[in-house]
Amino acid sequence: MTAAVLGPLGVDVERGPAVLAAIDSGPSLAAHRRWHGEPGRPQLTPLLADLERVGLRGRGGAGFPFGRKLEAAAEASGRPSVVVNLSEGEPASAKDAALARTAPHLVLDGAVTAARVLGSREVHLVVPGADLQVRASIETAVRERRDERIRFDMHRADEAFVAGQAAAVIELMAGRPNRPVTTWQPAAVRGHRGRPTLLSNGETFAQLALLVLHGVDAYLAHGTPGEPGTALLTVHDDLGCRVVEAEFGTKWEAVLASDDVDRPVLLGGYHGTWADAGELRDLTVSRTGLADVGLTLGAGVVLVPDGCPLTFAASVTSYLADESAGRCGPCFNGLPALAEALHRVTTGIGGRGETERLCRMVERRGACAHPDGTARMVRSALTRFPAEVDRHARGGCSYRAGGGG
Amino acid sequence: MPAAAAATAPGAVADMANHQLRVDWPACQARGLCFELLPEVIELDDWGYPVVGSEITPELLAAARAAVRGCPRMALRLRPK
Amino acid sequence: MSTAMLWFLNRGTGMVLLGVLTATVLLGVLAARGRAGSLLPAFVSRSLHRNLSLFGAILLVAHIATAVLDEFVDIRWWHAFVPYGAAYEPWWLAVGTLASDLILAVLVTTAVRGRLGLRCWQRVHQLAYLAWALGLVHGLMIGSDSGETWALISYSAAAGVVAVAVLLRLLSPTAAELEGERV
Repeated sequence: MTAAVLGPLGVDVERGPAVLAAIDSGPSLAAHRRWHGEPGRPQLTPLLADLERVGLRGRGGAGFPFGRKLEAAAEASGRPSVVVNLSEGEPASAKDAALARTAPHLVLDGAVTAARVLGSREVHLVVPGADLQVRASIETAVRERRDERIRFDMHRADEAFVAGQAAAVIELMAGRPNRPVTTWQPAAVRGHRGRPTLLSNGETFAQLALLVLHGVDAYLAHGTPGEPGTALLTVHDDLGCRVVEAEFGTKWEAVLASDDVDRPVLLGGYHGTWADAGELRDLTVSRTGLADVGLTLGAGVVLVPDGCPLTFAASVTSYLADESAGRCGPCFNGLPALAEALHRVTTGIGGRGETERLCRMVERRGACAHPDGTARMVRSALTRFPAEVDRHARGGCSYRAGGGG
Repeated sequence: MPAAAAATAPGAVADMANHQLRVDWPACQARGLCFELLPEVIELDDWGYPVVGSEITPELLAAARAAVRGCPRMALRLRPK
Repeated sequence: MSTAMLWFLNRGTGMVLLGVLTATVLLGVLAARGRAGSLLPAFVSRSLHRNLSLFGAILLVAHIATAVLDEFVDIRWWHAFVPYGAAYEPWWLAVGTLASDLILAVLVTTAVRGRLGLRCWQRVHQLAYLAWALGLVHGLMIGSDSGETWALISYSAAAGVVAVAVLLRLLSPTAAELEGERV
């Protein structure tokens, strides 16, 4: 049993092995320094080698190798900026909010290290505009660091699903609406004010800080040889919502409540993929292990829906259709049509072929990953639950007998 | 697929690489000019927005450039593959 | 060339310009309507719009040149660009000069459209409406044939068709708007 700190809006944050190791002593800079010490001042080349060695990938969902992003930002022309994206657009994700509240200085250490390595003196912190606690916590943490020669700029993101996408964040920083636009080059090459921009989410910077504060060997002590380290997960199940830190290689049985591995689980959030009942029993918390069976860890959201996964997928799709920014035609028109088609599948009036066709029609046809992520989740619901789809086609549902509603 | 691959003789016009047509989706407003100018590659979806089929081969490069120029919303870009 | 000849040419090019510019504006107004496969293929109306506008530009040069070269009225070469200080019909000449300046801006921005970006180009391009309207007023007020019935009919027809086209465009949504309101 680990002590639980009350996180954002009733989310339990459990003490973890590395990132969340020091949360019991509070979020202050003094407590942070007592536990983690002072970060060194690494040079770019050895840091890149260390990042390569521990295989750190972005934790925002796409999983791009962080070292390659850092290297791209360092090599591109112009003085780079560092952006910490704490605005989780995905409403089911609470890990960056939890980090901001319980270990803000780990995130800031990572950001400051990245800024110094890149020869930059400004760090942009993008916080969820609606979450007053996160904002207050980050503001306090920044005030504690006044004597550091780094300028921290706060930006408040909109409360919208697509507002957290990298291009949308860069729009926000430019004073334009916080919505995605087409980018022709990655932000690391050409981002904020046309300059190279190292934009990653909060957990990624916290992981970087751990590496710099405690060294490669300490980082390699967690996880597996193939996938060192830990990952933050936001778990939603019958017990409520909690943020936990799991070492890579941990069995899902140890992460989820006792019999939840025998239920369908949505991994990676609303843009994620479905694991069939029992499928997680033989699997571990692992990007590559999950990818081998067509699953994704995404930004670490783990949802165990109460009831029929197909019906749940349909309502998530409707939500995602509503969350389209409405800027790109295929998304704006396609997602409502897709939601409608999937709704027909769940109510047993056809729609299966149409759903698959619409998935193909929206994919890779938008400025951001919203249509792709939605299609991924819908398609995995169809392929993971074929028996359930058939049952719904005959007007049934294996989950209805239990409790109705 | 294998038939198409075999049709390209090795060493024939290798210096002209294939190009890729990319759409600036927020800019596109389904005017459909690209479909008229480049039906070889572009189809329209249910709502009139372009579906870019294949890569742009060197023979289609001129037509693709015309489509890029012709787009009233300036929503098309041609990039080397 | 005789002065009479220049004067005839000037009036002639003016009247033809009215027709050509009106047709250009019409095609431009209607280009944003409907979707592929309606009345005309969009690329046909678009190239017609483009070629007519270029023809209009050539006619405009001829119109201005004949006015400057003609010695019956005192119009200097710089009056082609500066809408001020002409001795002959200073107000209505200035209106015409302003129209041709605007047309020049529209042409130049279109030539470098790729570098300007859509928004900027669009804003300048919308000045074409103003240019057309100023041109019409210029012709009506300065033209020596404006009292003639055929001339009055031409002016009213030009104003009428453009007004109808603009109304049609405002009332009928673009293809994208047909699907609903967009941000």
